[in-house]
Amino acid sequence: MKKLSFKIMALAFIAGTFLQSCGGSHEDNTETIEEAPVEEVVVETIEDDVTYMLPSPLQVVSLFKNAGLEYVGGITNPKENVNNYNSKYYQKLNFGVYAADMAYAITNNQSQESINYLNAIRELSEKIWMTDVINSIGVAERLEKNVGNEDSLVSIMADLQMQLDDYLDENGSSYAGSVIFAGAWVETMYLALNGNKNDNEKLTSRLSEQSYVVENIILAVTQANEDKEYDDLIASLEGIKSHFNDLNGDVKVLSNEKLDSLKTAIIELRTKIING
Amino acid sequence: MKNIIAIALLSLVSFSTVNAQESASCDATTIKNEMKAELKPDYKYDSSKITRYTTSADFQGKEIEVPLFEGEKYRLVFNITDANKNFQLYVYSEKAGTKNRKALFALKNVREEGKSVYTYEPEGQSKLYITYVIPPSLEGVKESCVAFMLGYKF
Repeated sequence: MKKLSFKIMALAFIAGTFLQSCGGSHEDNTETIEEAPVEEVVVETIEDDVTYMLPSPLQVVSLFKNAGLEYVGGITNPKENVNNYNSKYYQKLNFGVYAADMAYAITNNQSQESINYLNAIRELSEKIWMTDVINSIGVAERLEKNVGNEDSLVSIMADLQMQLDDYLDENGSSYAGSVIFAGAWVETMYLALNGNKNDNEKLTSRLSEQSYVVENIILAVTQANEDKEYDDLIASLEGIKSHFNDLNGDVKVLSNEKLDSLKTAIIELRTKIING
Repeated sequence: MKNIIAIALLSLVSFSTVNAQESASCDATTIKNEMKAELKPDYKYDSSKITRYTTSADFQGKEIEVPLFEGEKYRLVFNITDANKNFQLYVYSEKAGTKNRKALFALKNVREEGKSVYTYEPEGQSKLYITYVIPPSLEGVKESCVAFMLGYKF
């Protein structure tokens, strides 16, 4: 990552520091540090070293569901496809896709489907060396014990997300998380755009809000793209982002025409991802 | 002679104090479990980020950009247990360098409160910008960290 450029107006602080380094006892120094005039520290700019947070697939799916997205069977990525992903690139992306499918199943009380998708995630996690994430909190056992209890299943999924975030944090792989989330986001958009029947206004509004998310995904994946391995993904996401370009302070919801073109772009990228 | 020994020992101690590279534990599981407790019972875990940094003689800053969805209720939880003494944290309405940037929440000089976990519930924002300010440290180099967790009302 590039070095942070961080301009801070802190004349008083610097003056204090200078004075204490010029003389005085150690005790005096400590006092000066504690009483440093932090009030006068004003952050002007941060040009780099920014972390772009991404919402969990569970939150995005729940948001769509609360906006009226109905469950449509058979449109998720078939779990049998899990064996088709041989490169780390597609394994990470489809880890995200299956996480979104699992969230979709859980929020629609499809317990068996949830377990099937958890198994797909587990298989992929082994391939990308994240086995412990799934095993450490006994997700499978907890899912089986709570079949039919949506509230518990949601909590289990949230725990799984936390475990995944912890793993990525601890192993310095936060950037891999952005690629996983890119896969998850494309899948949630695919599910929502396919389930957006009868021009559901609320759902259209929620879909329109995703412009903020795709923006952050692009920025986060770009940070992970030191070896240029995600150039194609970034280009596809930039293409998707362009469908939101008409939105501004006055226009907050995508037109039907834009929704259709967005759907086409999402289907295209999603097909590429799940075909590996 | 005694004086020379005393001066030598004192110098050694001072040198060690300035140069020792201390490490805060920054154990993700412990830190996050404390934070997760702050989400219960109304909020579900959404995402989190442990920001690790090393104090130095320079100012440092880090920013976290958080997208939110309209009308949803969120709770931001911060754990500063392993942050350095003068660490400051701000939540802004706009990106750094933007004219209308407004501080919505701030943590500075809070060590005396004896707390290490703080929460903030934003209203009506579509994005939040969390800024960590790490002032120069004269206490030597120290590995530190601060943790952020986002919960949403399910």
